Amino acid sequence: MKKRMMTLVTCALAAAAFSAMGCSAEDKPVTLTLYGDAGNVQRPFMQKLFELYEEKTGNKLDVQGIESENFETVCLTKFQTGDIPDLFLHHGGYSLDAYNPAENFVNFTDAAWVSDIQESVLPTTMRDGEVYGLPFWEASYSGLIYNQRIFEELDIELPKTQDEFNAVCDTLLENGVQPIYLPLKDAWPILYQYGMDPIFEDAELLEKLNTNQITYSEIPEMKAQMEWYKMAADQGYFGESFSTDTWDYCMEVLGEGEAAMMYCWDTWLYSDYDSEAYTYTADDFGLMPAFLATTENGTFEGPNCCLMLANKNSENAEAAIEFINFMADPENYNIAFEDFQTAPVFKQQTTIQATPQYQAAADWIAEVGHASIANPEIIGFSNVDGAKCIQELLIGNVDVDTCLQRMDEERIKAAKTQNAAGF
Amino acid sequence: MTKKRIQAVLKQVVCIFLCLIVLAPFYMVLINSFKDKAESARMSLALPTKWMFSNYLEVIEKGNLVQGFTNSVTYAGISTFIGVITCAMAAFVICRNRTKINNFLYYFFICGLFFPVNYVTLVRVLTFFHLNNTRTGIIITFTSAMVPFCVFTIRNFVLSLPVELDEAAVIDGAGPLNLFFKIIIPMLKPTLVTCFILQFMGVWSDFMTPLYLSSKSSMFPMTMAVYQFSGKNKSYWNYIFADIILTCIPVIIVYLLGQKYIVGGMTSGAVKE
Repeated sequence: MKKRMMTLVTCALAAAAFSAMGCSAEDKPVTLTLYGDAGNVQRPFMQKLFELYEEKTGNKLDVQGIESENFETVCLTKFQTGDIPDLFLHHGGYSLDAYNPAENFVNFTDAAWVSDIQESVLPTTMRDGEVYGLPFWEASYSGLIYNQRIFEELDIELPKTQDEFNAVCDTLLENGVQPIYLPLKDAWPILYQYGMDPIFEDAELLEKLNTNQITYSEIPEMKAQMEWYKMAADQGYFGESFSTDTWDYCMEVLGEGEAAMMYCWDTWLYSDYDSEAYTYTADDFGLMPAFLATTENGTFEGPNCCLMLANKNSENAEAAIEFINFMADPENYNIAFEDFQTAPVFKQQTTIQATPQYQAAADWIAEVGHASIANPEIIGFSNVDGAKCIQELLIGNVDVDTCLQRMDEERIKAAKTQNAAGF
Repeated sequence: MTKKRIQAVLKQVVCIFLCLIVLAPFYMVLINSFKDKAESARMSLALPTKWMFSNYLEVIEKGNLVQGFTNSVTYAGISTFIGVITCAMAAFVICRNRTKINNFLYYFFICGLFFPVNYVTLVRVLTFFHLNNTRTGIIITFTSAMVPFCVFTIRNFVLSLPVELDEAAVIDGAGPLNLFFKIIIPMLKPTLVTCFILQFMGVWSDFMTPLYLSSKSSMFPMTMAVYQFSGKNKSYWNYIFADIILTCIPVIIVYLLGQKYIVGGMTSGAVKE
């Protein structure tokens, strides 16, 4: 009896072993690790795409959302220790150079889907002329979102020049409405880069800045922008409590009409703003240029896209490349972006809807819109570090010259850390 | 008499007021964890218009809290238990056997209180020993990190224990292990419990170490779950608060069970007899 049992067990084990040997590596599902900013990986189109991929291929995605504040620090540390994920979701631009794209990421320049990317978006995928990532993201246009109903009630016409904009702010103040909600405490919502895009559209000036031949302090338009911020704060355009205002309250402040405008992007109104909770819905807001005294007629900022990058040295590199090709397939991205409100990133994107704000301002955007340059292209640029200097300016701790000087110091310090030439 | 009563009442009122100030944030977190997304974003102290008990189920499911809880208990429980016992042993030897080497070791351990952790080199060391991306590596790291504080605290308490106690035990035939576990450890109870609770809370709250030392989300502790509901542009405060409540419960229980030892333990080494 015992001998029979042993024989049976041995046969069962042998059968299991043979069947396991019979399974090829290709049959086994792969788990791909993906690092990204916690908020970015939660975007609805990303979640839809992840579900679709897992359903269709049987592979798994280990999505690790890292909190925004520590994202760059944590990711750079992990890359330095060799702990590089199979997939990496990053905003691209100059800050991507710290991750050594040529050494770590797959070069997709010759991929078939590159020709499917909109011309205005393609430059954001490149470093040194090579395409490293797929811009699987919403294409938003940034400026000032404004409450159209308040403007109608107060019979305010949309401003076309800086002076007209200042006059609009004065009118709103006179009628007891805070002109602009500026979440100064969180620093990043100051979004001062909007005013810098027109300045550094001048490639020669950008090159001089990036090779340390010129500083912010020496550029008149930068000084004009900081002077406008100071004037606006002193005049009350940002309200009385701007130094303690945070991003978390922006929906309530705008939604209940306490403030009429905020620096933002059009797709936020449909992806994040909770229309059902407040008096004013997303459709009650329009989009106008950001008037920051760097140009006479204001400026819209073009799309900033997150890139999906693949680790070329990973043992799952093939699967990671296949995942990106899966994302770039029109059938799949149209499912992921179905009914999502955004301007198109891909040429065959047919299921999206442009936001009403973009549609209404399309001509205006074509007239005064600028590509996003400051954030991705200025070496050492940091939205948060520069904004903290502006915080000090608006609170009154420093003057304009000192503010610009500190912004330069932060930028140069970051550039030196990255061993940028000229610094 | 009346003046005394008035003073007593005033003191009570001030104390209750101070307690309310301390309790207000906890109350806000608790009450907003039962609200819907829009209502919770306002972070008011008002009761919910609609009680959303399902927030907790959402958080447990989406945040993968069961796995996170298991990881947190594993890291905090095992590392703290091993750390406190081994540090007690080390502190006892360092204190009773004052050789040059032991004195040097003591100050070497104390240095750990001042020097920051460098994760790049730490990961390389763990990788060399094939411990990177493993729960063992994470537990070893947490255990090592608590050595300076525990050795420092326990050693100072052991100093206050009379040597005659050891001598009496040895005369009665106790070996080193019996001496330590049956005589010394019971006397170290307040200090050990203090160290255990403080280190447990520290390890429970630390999410950066597992984040740096592992690349699999299956090894992340409970504290990482909150980032499933929070991004730069948008936060689901009702879920965040629910997650905070669930994450805090184990630590609160541990603290409540051992709180009577903490004050005694923290001051135990302060006065030498």
